[in-house]
Amino acid sequence: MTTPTPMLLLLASEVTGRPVVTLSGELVAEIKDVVFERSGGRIAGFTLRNPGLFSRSRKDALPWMGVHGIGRDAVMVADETVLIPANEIAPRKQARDADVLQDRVLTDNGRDLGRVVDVVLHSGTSLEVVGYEVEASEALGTAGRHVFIPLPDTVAVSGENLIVPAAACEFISEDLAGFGAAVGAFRARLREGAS
Amino acid sequence: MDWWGWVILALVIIAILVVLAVIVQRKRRRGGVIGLSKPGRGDSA
Repeated sequence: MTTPTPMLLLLASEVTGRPVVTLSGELVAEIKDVVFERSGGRIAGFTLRNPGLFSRSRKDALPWMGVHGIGRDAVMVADETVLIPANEIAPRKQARDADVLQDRVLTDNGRDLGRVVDVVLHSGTSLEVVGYEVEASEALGTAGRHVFIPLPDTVAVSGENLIVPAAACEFISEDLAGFGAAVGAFRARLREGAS
Repeated sequence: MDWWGWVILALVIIAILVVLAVIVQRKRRRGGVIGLSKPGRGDSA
């Protein structure tokens, strides 16, 4: 039996609002939205806004391939040339209705687990969505509390509801510290089941 | 209404507008997590 590898996890809400800074120290923008690919959970990039209280959204975006590094206090990029038009990452028409925050999470056997309040990201060679923080429904017996639900390697999602395998209920975590291990164990269980 | 009544009314209206602007701006600035079935070019990273 192998021990699941520890994961470096962060919440999407911790990334939004972080300044985007070039390696020469220039403040370019702030992160507005995290954009991910629903089929695989991989982060495609970030939409941007100008810094400042009454700032507007920017028409350019930061693709994941343009990110030099994500630190605790800033997202680093080589320079402004890595930015691309926002429509190439998140076409406005699609993005308008594609925010997963407040979406309902259902198991594949129809159990309502609650509503998404945040998204858990795994930072490694790429950044990917590995779980949802949900405000638990009564079905979990902890109504109103925030819990973390692990996601499989392949996130199959469409429409307004986010569907997770029923086995995810066994790996629900109440804190982020233990969640990395829960994701690893959950995915190992799914692979065992598939083989 | 005396002149000071108009001044107070104006101040109240300004205060309401400022509060509304701050609420709208805070909502607008709260980032989202957008899940797309077909992301654009950035997806190829």
